[in-house]
Amino acid sequence: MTTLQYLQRVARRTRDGDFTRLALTEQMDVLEAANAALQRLYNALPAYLRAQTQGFTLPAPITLNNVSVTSGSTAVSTGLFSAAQIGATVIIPGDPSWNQVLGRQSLRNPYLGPTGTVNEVMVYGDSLFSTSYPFDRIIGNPMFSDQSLAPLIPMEMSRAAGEWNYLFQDTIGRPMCWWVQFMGNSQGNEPLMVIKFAPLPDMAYSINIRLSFWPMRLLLTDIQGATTLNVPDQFLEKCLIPMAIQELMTKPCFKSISPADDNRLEERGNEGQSFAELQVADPTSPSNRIYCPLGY
Amino acid sequence: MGLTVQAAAIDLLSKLGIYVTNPSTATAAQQQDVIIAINWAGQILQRAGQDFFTRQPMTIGLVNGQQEYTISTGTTGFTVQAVLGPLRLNNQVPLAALLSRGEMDQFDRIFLGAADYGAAQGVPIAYWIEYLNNNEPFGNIEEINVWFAPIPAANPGIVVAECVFGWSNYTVASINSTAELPVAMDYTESVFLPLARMAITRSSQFNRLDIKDSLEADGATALQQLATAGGFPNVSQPGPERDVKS
Repeated sequence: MTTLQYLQRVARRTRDGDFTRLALTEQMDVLEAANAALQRLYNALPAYLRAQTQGFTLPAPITLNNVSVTSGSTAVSTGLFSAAQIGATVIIPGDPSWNQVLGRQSLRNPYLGPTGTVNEVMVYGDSLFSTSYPFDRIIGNPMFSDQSLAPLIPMEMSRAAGEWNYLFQDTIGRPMCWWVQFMGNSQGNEPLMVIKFAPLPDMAYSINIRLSFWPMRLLLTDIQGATTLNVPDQFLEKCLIPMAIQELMTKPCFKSISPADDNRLEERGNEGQSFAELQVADPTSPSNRIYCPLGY
Repeated sequence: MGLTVQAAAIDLLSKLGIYVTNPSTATAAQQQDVIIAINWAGQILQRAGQDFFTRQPMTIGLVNGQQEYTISTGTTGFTVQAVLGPLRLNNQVPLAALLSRGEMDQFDRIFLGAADYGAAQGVPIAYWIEYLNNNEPFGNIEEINVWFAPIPAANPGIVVAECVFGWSNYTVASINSTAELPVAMDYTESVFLPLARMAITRSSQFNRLDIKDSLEADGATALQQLATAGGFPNVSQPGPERDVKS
């Protein structure tokens, strides 16, 4: 089902009964209801429908030369770092401690060396983040794609604080552990969080991580582009459309036929959510396992 | 064949008790009242509703960088009575209506999440209809402008807008015209003439009290028939519900 087909089905319940006849603000009302239903549906469905294994690369160290630094300042020249380097550990000659890239032109800690121009600034690929949003959560241990390498160990102790693990501080080599560091997304910082690795990678490594995602929000461009919905077909009519109509009921363009009909719409929306919540949690249930439903 | 202006005038003059075959032989006041009645009926028909055969397409040629298009203004430039919509880019892609000047002024900010006021150039996806007084001291004082967002860019194409055009008023000089009245399906006897006859009862020349009630009743019936064709919504208002039997 395409986005426009979806919106047209939902907009049957608007005052005009036709998405194409709605004013742009009203089309946004329908879009809002459609997005709310998508988010509710994905929240109700089992996690495996949101999960994927995403491949990343921990890049090899990069050397920067002619870098202007100011003692006591976190600012560096505009665009010195790439967006992909946010969260990475940076070692600046003259600075007594390791630092971290916080933004494309900012450091986490003030540079404590002498003001001037420095060479041999090392940026390590010990940090990565998913550029695929909306990001839900990490649901699997990061692994080297080369499975002959040792497993990466989650550092549970330090995950909450997001601090570097003392066991591996100031070491460079093959990563052995990982943890997450939050970047203050509620204050407008991006990304939401980075996954840190230690020791700092001495070369490029390929990493796989199981992540889960919320559905992408539908935008005006999805209507114009007639994009396809990322929803399994079996949940369209039973779940998604009734839930979207239920969400539409609070919008100004909704046309109420009767209180009894409104009640039916509420019930159908709730039934749609229940239907999604009752899907089997694990599609790989073997038939010899307890709790496995009859016939499977 | 439909009713001509002359035939309608002869009929209306007869309601004034004047039986002629050449309407121009009537007095100037009688001719004027007849033409007023004809125009009254025509204007009522033209305002009867979007589904009573008043909807007409109008083509607007878009220009690179031009956001506002005046489609009707003043007495000489008057063509459009109202824009009903839909408006379709290149006669195919539906454009969405904006509801206010504010939405137009902050189009990029509200709908595209950008920081700038107004709209950037691009392929139009929305329009706003502006109904204005054109500041003329006489005649038709309406002005209708259509605004597009984003602002048309290079090779912008056309927009086909569905409108209601205005009624072209007759003058006394055309009382003998043999041109047919512009009435849908030539339903002049059941719709147009009852309205015009009702209007002629308001003439100072009218003194046929014996037929006044029946003329008014016929006129009221014609108005009721027109009402079933729907209301006359503004472009930003919903269309009237219409029962369609399959």
